Amino acid sequence: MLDTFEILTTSGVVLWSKTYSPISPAIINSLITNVFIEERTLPGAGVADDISAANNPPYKYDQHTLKWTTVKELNIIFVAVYRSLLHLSWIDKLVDNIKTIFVDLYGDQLRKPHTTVVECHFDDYFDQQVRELEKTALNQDTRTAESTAFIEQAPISISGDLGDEPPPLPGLLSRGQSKNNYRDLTSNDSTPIATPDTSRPSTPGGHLLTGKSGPGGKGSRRARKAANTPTYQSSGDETSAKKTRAARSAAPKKGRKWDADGLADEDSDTPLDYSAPANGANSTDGISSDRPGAVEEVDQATWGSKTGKGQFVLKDLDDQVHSILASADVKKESSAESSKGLVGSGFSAIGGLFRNVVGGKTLTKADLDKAMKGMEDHLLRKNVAREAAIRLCEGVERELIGVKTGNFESVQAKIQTAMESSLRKILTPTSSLDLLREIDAVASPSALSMQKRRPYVISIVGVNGVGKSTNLSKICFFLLQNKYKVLVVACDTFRSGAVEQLAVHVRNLKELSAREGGEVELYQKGYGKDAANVAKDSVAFAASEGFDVVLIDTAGRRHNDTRLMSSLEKFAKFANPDKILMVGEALVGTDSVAQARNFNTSFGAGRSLDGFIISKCDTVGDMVGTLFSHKLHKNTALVLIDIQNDFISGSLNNSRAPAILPNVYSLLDTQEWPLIIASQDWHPEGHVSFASAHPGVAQFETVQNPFADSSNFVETQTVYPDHCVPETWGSQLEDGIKSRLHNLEGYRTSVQYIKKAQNHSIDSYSAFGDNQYRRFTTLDSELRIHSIDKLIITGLVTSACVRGTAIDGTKLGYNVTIISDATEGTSQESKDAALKELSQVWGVYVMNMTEWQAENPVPKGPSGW
Amino acid sequence: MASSWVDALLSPSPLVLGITVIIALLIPIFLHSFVFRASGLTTLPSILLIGPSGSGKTSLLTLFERGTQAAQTHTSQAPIAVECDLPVGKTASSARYRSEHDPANLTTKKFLLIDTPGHGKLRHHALDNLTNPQNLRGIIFLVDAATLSAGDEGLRQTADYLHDILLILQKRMESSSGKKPKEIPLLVAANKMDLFTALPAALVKSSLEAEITKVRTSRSKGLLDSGIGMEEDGEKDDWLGEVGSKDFKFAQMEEFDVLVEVSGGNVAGGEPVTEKWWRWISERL
Repeated sequence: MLDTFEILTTSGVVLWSKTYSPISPAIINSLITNVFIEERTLPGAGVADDISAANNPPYKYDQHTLKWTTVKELNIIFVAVYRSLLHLSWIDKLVDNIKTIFVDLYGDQLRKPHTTVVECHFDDYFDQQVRELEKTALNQDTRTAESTAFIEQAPISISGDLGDEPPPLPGLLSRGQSKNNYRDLTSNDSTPIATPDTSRPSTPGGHLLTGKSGPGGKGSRRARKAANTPTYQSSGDETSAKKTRAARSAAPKKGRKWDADGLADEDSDTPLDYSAPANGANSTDGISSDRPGAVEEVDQATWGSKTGKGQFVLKDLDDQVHSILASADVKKESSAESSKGLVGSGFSAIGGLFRNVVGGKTLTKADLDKAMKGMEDHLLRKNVAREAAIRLCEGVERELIGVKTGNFESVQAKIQTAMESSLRKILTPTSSLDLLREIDAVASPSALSMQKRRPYVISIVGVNGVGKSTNLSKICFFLLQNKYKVLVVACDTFRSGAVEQLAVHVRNLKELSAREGGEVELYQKGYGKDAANVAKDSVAFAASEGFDVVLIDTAGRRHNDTRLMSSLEKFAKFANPDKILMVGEALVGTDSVAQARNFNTSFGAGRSLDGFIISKCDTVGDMVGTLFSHKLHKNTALVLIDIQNDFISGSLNNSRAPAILPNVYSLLDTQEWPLIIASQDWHPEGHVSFASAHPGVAQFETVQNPFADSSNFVETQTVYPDHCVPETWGSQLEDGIKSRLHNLEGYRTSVQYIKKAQNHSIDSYSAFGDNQYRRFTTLDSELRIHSIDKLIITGLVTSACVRGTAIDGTKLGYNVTIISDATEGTSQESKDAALKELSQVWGVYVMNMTEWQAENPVPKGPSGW
Repeated sequence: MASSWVDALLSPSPLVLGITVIIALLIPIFLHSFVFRASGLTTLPSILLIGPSGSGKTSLLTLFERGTQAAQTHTSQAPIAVECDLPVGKTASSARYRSEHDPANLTTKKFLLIDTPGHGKLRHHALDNLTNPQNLRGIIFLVDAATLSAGDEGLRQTADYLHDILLILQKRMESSSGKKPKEIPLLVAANKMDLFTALPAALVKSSLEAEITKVRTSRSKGLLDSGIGMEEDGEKDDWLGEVGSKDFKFAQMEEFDVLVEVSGGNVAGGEPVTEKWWRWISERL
């Protein structure tokens, strides 16, 4: 049953409330802060004016469910709180009805300025509604459920319990329920049955009823009732424990029929009379002859009780409430109709125009739609993520619908102010962001408080290459200036060079701290360790060594890589940082929403991101009029691996290879890239991969090639016919590719040609470096110069050079995608195997052309040049 | 013809006479109702309620409005202004010399109490009220005395907020060139004195002062230059209170015409104790 129903204003004053069982005020407060102030509602929460409670997502908090609705115009909120365990289908209806009634009755008082007092005597109305809805709900329950035996028993046991108040309830009704309710709701059920079921052995339910009717009324009805009750009572006494079954089966059936005929229907006697013989026929007991009489009397008793003194008012109330509800319905309908009529619409249109100028217009969804669309487009143009833009607009719309514009205020102006306040609300932090004071509070707590001193832990997460370490160093610098003792922890145990990189930062900072004050140390455990454990150890170390702040650098991870992201949860649990900050690039644009969301959820329940650091803001500008495709590819390079003549139709000709060309052409023609990489095999004569260099070895066989710097390691080298010898036709890029790149390079985009495997004795599959990692190409530095973090790899041959490049790309921390139909192997099997390995072991994305194009629609407008 | 119009207007016909008489009578009434009334009495003196969320602002508002018992309240989302009367026995300081039975007493007893939401995201309502005050006579900064023990999160947030408010008041005084703006006194009302853990008013004062000192120093530590030998000069704009002072004291605000008082009381819990607050309000009116 309902725990509490409250009607409160947006300024926080409770106008009226009804409490059945007391709940903590924190429940409703959390609804207000989370749903109304911080707008953490689920998207799609009701936008329309005066939406019913059913359309507002229920808010759950601490085992309670809250149903709510608002009246914008009057700034009031209606909240119903009940236990989440209960399924109360009628609450929505109750909230809506109460809203209608309350607004109708006290709307005038609510509109008065400068007061919070609303004189209301609402209890009776509320009780009436609860009673009515509960009854219909119970009714529906019994009717809908097929297993009659159980259901029928349920209301009985309840009513039996209700008969005497103390015992705990099975759940449908709360014990705090006012007596009136039971009487009306259950009287015809309870009266015959109460006898056997209740814990009171001596006094039957009838006793209760007489007690009630005693002070009850004075009219003739009361006389009739009084006359009825004794007879009933006697029958109740007669029908002792042994015939409970019969009574039980009879009573609820009666109840149903009676209810089915309507609420205050005076003709209801007839069908009941009709039902009574049926019951009698059903029950095999001898006492069944008594039953019809009992039925009739009970019936009249309830009827009488309704018209008894206390309930007389209720009868009027019923009418009043019904008329209010009906008139509200009619109003709704008529407004719907009037908008349909030609003349009506004409009038309202003129009126609307007039009010648009003068003000005082009540905003509807239609008014806002156009303006909101424009606002949304503008936001999108300004590089706001679509999701964020939509959410923002929805918020504004929700705020505005049903609001009256002020005097001489246009709709546009209203939207602008609403948008402004909405943005301000979003951007204003809930709590203070004074990092230094928070650190002080934790690292050097006041002597009076009971807190123990511990280091303040900040950890930094983000995708690859956004500047985690750089920003960490900046924060560290700030802290050092404020004379803190800082421990920098290298938890990037994955990417090679990460620890050294951090060590360089720390070395420089140390030098700085020598003159600025403060103290900084690096904590590192090398590579391959579990980051979470390193973090945990470092915090313990910092606590014992008296550090004030621990800054934890983590490995960059792609936000959609579930494997890497899942380790964050453990990390958050072990390191238990006070602040988790995510570094995001301003460049990334709309993708940042997805990044933030994925990172936010990755820490497990109960922990989320505390803040963002936006890096590289200087690269963005104000983004006006920028096409999406530009931004999309801002940090993405297209890599064409070895699309050379020898691999297509030359010495290593491959009949499968030409199939990729149209797709590669299309990538070059329709999309813009900040950087295109074209790698070429560039073998000197007598190269280790040439069969001609290994006398006695046939083509496509393998030789053992010892490592150049240590003969302990041996590499297996497959040998091929001579191919890609510089300055031969076979080493040239395929003509279509070549001419396209020639047109693009230096003018439209920068193109880098990587001529790999020039070392006589070491082959190089990967475009990043040779197979023994002795010598690296300039590819990595070229990519870094262009701030590339995502590679789209195409080309030949999937199982060799494409695979090698993709693997090295991931090792170096790039986000690698392979377009499966823009790369080919020598056979379908070898290609499939290579793609499978890449995607499963190395976490490379594999997508085909169609998927790629679906994700990256070609911008409209002239595509060629 | 135009001349016929002029003739008609100038001829002593009863209609024209009537119209002139009506106009002559209406204009003063019109002027009175629009000009006089609009400027004069409509802006009641107002008292602003500020404080962190959960300190009891809305409860205090309802208590002052209803007199005996505060209403149940929840987190506020919107500001509200309520017309209140001074209780019996309190006279506004502006009416000190009036006779008891002066009918003007009725109006001097009235004032507007403005409640603002304390939630972090909604404090701009309060700040708006501060930056362009309409006949603002004073600010009541409510604090929850039970959450102000040292090291408590509540103390930090309260001090933060109070620091910001005081800084705004101080800047208001500093920035005004020429005519000095009206002084706005501030009452730190230590609420919830009925609770066992509540600090007494004197302790509330000292712990807030100590915490504001911390806020002040940490605020001043922005990002600095890394260059050697840089000489910080100026940049004391955001320094609250006396420049160069080690500890912040509320008394330092007097320099900027901001009188800060601290007194205790409680809104809820048995018998409301608001005597001191009422006295403070009546002195401001």
